[in-house]
Amino acid sequence: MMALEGTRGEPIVVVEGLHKSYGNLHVLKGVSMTVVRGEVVVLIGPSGSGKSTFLRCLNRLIDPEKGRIVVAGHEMTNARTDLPKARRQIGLVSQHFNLYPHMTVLQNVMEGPVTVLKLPRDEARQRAHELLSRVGLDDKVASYPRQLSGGQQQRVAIARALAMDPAVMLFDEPTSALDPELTGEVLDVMKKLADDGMTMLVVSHEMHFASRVADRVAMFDDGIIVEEGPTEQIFSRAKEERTRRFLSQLLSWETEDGALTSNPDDGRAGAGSIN
Amino acid sequence: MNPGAMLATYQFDFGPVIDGFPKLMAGLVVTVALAVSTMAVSTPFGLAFAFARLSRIRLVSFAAHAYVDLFRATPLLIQIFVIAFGIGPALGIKVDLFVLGVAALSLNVAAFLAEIFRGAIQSIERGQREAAISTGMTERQAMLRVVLPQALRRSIPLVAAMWVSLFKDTALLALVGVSELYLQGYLIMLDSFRQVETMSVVALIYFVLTYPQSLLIERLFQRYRVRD
Amino acid sequence: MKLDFGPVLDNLPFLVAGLQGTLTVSAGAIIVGATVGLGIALLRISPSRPLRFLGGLYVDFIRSVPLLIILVLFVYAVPIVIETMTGHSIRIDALLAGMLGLGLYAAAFLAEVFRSGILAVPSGQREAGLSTGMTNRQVFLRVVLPQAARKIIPPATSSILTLVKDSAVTFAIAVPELMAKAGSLNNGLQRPIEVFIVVAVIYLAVTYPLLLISDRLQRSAAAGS
Repeated sequence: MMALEGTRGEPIVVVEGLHKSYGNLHVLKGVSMTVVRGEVVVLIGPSGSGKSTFLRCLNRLIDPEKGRIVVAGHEMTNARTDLPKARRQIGLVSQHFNLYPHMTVLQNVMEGPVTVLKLPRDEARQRAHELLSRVGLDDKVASYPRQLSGGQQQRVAIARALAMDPAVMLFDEPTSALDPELTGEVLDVMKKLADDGMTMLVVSHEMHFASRVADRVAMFDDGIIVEEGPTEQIFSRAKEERTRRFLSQLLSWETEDGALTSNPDDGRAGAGSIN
Repeated sequence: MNPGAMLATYQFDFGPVIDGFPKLMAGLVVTVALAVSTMAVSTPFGLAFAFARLSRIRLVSFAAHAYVDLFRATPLLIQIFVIAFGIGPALGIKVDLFVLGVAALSLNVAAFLAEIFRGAIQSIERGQREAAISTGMTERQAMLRVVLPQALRRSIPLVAAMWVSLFKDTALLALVGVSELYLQGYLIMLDSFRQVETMSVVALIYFVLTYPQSLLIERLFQRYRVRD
Repeated sequence: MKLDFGPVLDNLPFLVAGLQGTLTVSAGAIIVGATVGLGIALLRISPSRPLRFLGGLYVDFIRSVPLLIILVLFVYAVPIVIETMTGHSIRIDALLAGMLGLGLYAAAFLAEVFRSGILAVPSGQREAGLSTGMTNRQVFLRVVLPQAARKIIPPATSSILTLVKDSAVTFAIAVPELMAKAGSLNNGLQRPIEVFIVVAVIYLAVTYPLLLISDRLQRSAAAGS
C-alpha cells in the first residue's frame, strides 16, 4: 500500500475554527477537528448540518470564511498554497461518482497521473490496472462509465482517487446514490482500504460500516460538531440528546437482517449540495 | 473631399438624426406593423403546415416537408427578392410593397413555425393520446382537446424567440424599398453623411425595443421549460 | 410571362464565382465567430462580475439589432475608431469587413451556444478534476470542454447554417458574394424570378446538406438526453 509511510498517530488533518456561510445561511459555525494518520472518522448528522461542506473545505473546493486547515502538511487556508499540488494528497469520492463520461474506465484512472503527475503513459497504465484489480474491476478497463452499475462506477471513482497516491481520502456519502444491493461492494473496498491503513474521513449513514470500520464518529448538527468520540461510545452511550435522537431515527430504519443501509438524507447531500 | 482628412478630425454630430427622429418613428410604426401582420398571417399557416407534415397521406406530408425545408434552407433575402422583384410584378396588378413584404416574411416564418409546432406536437407523450382515446375521444378530439393545447404551451418560448428574430428581419425589407425603420435611417444617413451617428441611433432604437422582449423570452423559457 | 432560364444558365460561371465569395465570407465569419464567441462565453461564466456584465452586454446588444445594421455600422464606425486611436486612416476591404461584421454578429449567438453547453456539464465533473489536483485550465480543457462539445455541436451546426444564409446580407456592404452577383446579373437580364430561383438552388447545394445534418444532430441529441 502506498502513501502510508510516516508514523501512525501523527496528526494529518488539523482543522481549527472553520466558518462558512452562504448568504444568510451559516453552514459551518466554528468546526475544529484533528485526524491522525491511519484513522477512520465517520461524520454523521442530519441533512444540512454541514458535513459535506466541511469535507469540501478540506480540499478547498469550497472556500471557508474563517479558520485554519492543514492537510498532509499543506496549509490549505493559506493564500500562497499551491492548491492543485496540495489536492493531489487529498482524494475525494462523492455521492455521484463524477466519472468522466467521455473516457473509458482505464482513462478515468490514468487521467490524473498523466495530466497532473506527468507520469509516463505506460507507467500510469500499469498503475491503473493494478488499482482497478484492487477494486475488482480489471475486466472493465475498456468500458465507459455509463456501461457500469452504480456500485462499479463508485469503485472506479475510488481507484481514480487512489491513483494520485493520496495521504487522505474523503468520502461524501459514497453509497447514498446506490441501490441497496450495490452498497456492499463499495463498502467492502472502503473497508479494505481502511485495513491497509488509509486515513479516511467518511460522511455516511451506513451504521454497520461505521461500527466495523470507524475509529471515531463525529456528530454534526446545525454547523457544529455536537459530539465526537470512539465509535462504540457514540453508538451506545452518546452524551448528547441530539445524537441519541438522530441515531434512534437511523435505527428505526434498520432492516430486518440487521444491516443498516437506509439513509435519512434520502440520497441528498447535506449543505454541500448548495454549491 | 478626402475621406481621410475628414476622419482625422472626426466630430460627432447627432443633429441630423435628431432632426430626422419623426421620420424614424414613422419607420418604426411600419416595422411594428410588418412584424405584427406577418405573425398574424404566418401562425395559422405554420400550424396548417405542421399538421400537413404529420399527415398520414404521403403526398401531403412530403409537400409540406419540402416547403418547410426549402424555406428554412434558403436565405430569407432571396425569398424576399423573388417575391418583391419577381412574383409581385409578374402578378401584373400593382401590389403594395408592404403587402409583398408581409407575404415574403410570412412564407418564411410559417416554415419555421411549422417546424416548431410539429416538434412540440411530437414531444407530447404518447400516453396522452392513448389516455384520450381510451376515454372514448376520437383521434380528432384527442388531438384538438388533449395534445394540441399541451403542444402549444410547450412551443411558447420558441415562438416568442421566432417573433424577436422576425422583428429584426423586417429590416431586410428596406433592401426592396419598404419604408421601415432601417430605410428611414438609411435615407437620413445618405442625406447627412452622418453614418455612424444615424446608424447607432437606429441600432439603439432596435435594442430598446428588442431587448425587453428577449428578457421576456428568457422568462418564458424558464417558466415553460420541459424537463429533458 | 414565360419563364426562361436560358440566359441565367449561360451566366452560371459568373454566379458560381459568387458562391466562392459566399463560402469565403462564411468561412472567415465562422472562424471569427467561433473564436470571439468562445471568448464571450468564457466572460459570461467568469467569476468576475464586471467581466460577466461585459459579456452579457455584448450578447444582448448584438442579438437585439438586425444584422444589416451591425454590418453597416461596422463598415462606417470601425475606420473612425481606428483613425481616432492610431491617427492613420485605413480602408477595410469589403470581404474582410463582411467576415468580421458577420463573424462578430454570429459570435453573440455562438457565445450562448457555448455557454449553455459548458454549463450543461455537471459541476461534479469540475469538482472531480480539481480533486485530483488538476488546475482550472486543465479541468476546463480536459474535462469540461470535451463533454461540452457534445452538447455544443448540434446547435452550433444550426448556427452555422444560419450564418451561411445570413452571409447573403453582406451584399449590402458590397461583399462580392452570390447575392451581389445575382443582383448585378438581374440588372442586366431583368429576369428576377429566374435569376433568384437559380441562385436559391445554388445556395441549397450548400445549405440543404447543412440543414439535414443539423436536424439529424438535434434529433439524436434530443433522443440521447
